[in-house]
Amino acid sequence: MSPQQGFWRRAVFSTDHKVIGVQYGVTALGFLALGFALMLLMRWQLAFPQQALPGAGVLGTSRMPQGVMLPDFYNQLGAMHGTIMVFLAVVPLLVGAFGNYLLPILLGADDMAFPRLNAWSYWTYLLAGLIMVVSFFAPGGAAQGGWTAYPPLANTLPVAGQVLWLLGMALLFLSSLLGAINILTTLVQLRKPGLGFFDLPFFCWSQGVAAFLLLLAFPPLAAAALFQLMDRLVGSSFFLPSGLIVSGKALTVSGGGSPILWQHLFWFLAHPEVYVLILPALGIVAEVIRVYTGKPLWGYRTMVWAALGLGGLSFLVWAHHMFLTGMGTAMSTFFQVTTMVISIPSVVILTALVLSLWGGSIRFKTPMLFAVAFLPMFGLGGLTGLPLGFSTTDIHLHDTYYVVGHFHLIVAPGTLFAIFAGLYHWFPRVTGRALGERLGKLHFWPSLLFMNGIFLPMLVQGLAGVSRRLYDGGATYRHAQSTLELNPLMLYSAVGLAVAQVPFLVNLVLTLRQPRATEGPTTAEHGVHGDIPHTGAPRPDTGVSNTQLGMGLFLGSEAMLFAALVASYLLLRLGAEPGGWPSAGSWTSLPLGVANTVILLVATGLTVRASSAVRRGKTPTGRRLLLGATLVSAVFLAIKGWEWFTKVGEGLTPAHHTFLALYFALTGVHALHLLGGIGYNLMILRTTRRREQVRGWRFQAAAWYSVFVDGVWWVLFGLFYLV
Amino acid sequence: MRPSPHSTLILLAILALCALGTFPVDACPVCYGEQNDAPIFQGAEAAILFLLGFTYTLISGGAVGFLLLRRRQRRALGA
Repeated sequence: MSPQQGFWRRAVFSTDHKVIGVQYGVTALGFLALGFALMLLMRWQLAFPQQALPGAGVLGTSRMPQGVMLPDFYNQLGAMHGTIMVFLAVVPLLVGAFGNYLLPILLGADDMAFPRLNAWSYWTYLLAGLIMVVSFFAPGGAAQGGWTAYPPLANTLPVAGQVLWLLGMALLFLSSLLGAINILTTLVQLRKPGLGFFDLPFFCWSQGVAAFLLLLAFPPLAAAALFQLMDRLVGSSFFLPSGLIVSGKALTVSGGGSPILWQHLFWFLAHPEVYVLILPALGIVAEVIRVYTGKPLWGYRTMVWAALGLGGLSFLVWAHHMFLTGMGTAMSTFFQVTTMVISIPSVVILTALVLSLWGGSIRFKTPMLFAVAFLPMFGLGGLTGLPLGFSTTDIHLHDTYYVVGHFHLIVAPGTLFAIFAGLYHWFPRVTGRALGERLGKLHFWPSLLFMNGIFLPMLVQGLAGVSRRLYDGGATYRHAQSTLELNPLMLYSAVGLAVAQVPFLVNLVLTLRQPRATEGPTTAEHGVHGDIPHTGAPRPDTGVSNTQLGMGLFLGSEAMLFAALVASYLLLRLGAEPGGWPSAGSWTSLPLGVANTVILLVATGLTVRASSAVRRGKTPTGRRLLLGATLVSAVFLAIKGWEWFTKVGEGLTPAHHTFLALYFALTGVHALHLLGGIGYNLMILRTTRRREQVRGWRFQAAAWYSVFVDGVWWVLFGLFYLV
Repeated sequence: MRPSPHSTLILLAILALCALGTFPVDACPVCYGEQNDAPIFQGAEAAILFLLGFTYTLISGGAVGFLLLRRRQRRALGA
């Protein structure tokens, strides 16, 4: 960060990892406050159903006329509270703020591997968040289908907010992708020379595994968001089965889809997302415990392997959220076993953290209080999850307040306590000023009390069978009567929790008004000045450049996106009723498909040869070959576009049949990728216009990308033209 | 204090005995829709298996790449 830069470049549109980390932190804390405020409104309605909340009339007659909450608005609050808390507050705080700020410092690097991508990641996240918040003012209000956006409900509700929710999720996918590539490349490429992987603080490992999960888990949700957008905007039926009745009327859609498809794609992200929340939180707590016990972590290597195991296993458990969807006992048993197995590495890490306290000279400063409180709260959250992982007990507990209590114990007192531990601990590192201890403790103790006041009663209500998402908190349900008195208790606890944040805010303001202390960082760090410059050259000891690794990771994520699209094809095609699927070639032209396959093959061959020519020092030849590849790719797109328009002209639209919906979606996503490749090629051609010698890594990246896009086309060609 | 190899083996044996001594607890087929002949059921199963297989192939590739990088780096440091 140069002082010569102007204010906007230095403090707003900066590419410095510390500025971006602070931007993430401040924005995510704002979203955290917003999500919390939505929850307070909900808890009022649950505690005092349909009673006027004084002053809430200002929210408008379409939401709270005379202060009384309407059911639709309650649904909006529920959907947006979950979305904001998970995707806009906690993950950006843990990964965007802590990860961005601390990783380069702990690795001894100047900045992240791709500083500009880092800035793009933040601004994309902010745009996604703003779109979601603005959706409250869209016709019909914000999304109402829950944070899980389950179809057919989410597909059929006449609210524009759901479309904005989907757009927001697509942008969050892009932001996460850029952030994850950056974190992983930074971890591998920008470590100070001599700093081995097992010399890294556990925090770095936790960030790395979380980034890896984001990289591979988010693409299926992006695919699902695309399908739901198409269902809503162009009338396709990815998630709508045939013969669906909505509000007493038969839905006029082609049908043939399945709501179960959405659940699979959603939970493929949303369960690993829990580990994206938890792992960085564990990383923060580990660092705080290490510093405030004055001794190394117990079982550091075991913790690292457990974190890797947790990440690796987290893709095996998603369908335990779907035991009641009719998966059959074999699949249920499989996911039940994997769910029990994944609890082992979690327990290993938690046990290591508890044992790390043993024999330490513990200083119970505010960060340590939050870190120590995290341990039993996270343990409680984990233990209450076990009955949900068993397919038998899940019958009773599914969709009850027990589920809400369980996951809030993980993500509220769990991750939020870790976030506060990290905030108090690294605040001096960021601002040069330490937050006051007295106010810190005044923040911690009531927070601990009220957190439990909110979430423990939820477990009791859930065990009594009270369903979640009830507008009246169960007032009209006989079985809920015995637990109704817990609703006001939870409201008062929530208000108490809000009041408990006042010392924190006062502490922030008072501390920031103090002069900056002169002493340096208070934590042990491996280096403060980077020895690895930002160049396109390969790192000497690994022989790999940042671009090569970044492109490899990007292609891995893209492969997951197409894998999710192909899995969706399999589900819908094999799930179609007999005779309900068109035979090969009835709606697609095999000659056109063959022609395009040959054309793309030529384009890929030219790109690979261009890369090879540049590597041999023949830049002008390489540029000519790349230009040829770009033109040939454009011919592919022209043929594809003509094929699409012809089909639409014949009435063969995505709304006509699920096969066509899949065809347009999958070939459309592929065409967008090809368009991106053309853009990248043109950028290379422009930047190498007047140079005889250029670095070959851009051409190589173009070649890798081209081979990938070509490979995807072969799969699509098989699915839509041959079988 | 490091545990002896014998105590680790004994612990593993006890754990294995505990695992063998358990009996599976599953919800009944009625609750979980044991309808293997329904096309959508087969489609979902194929999709799950494909997604699992693809994901773990990709993860294995990533793990192998990471190990190769680590080995190359250690070799460079040792040289």
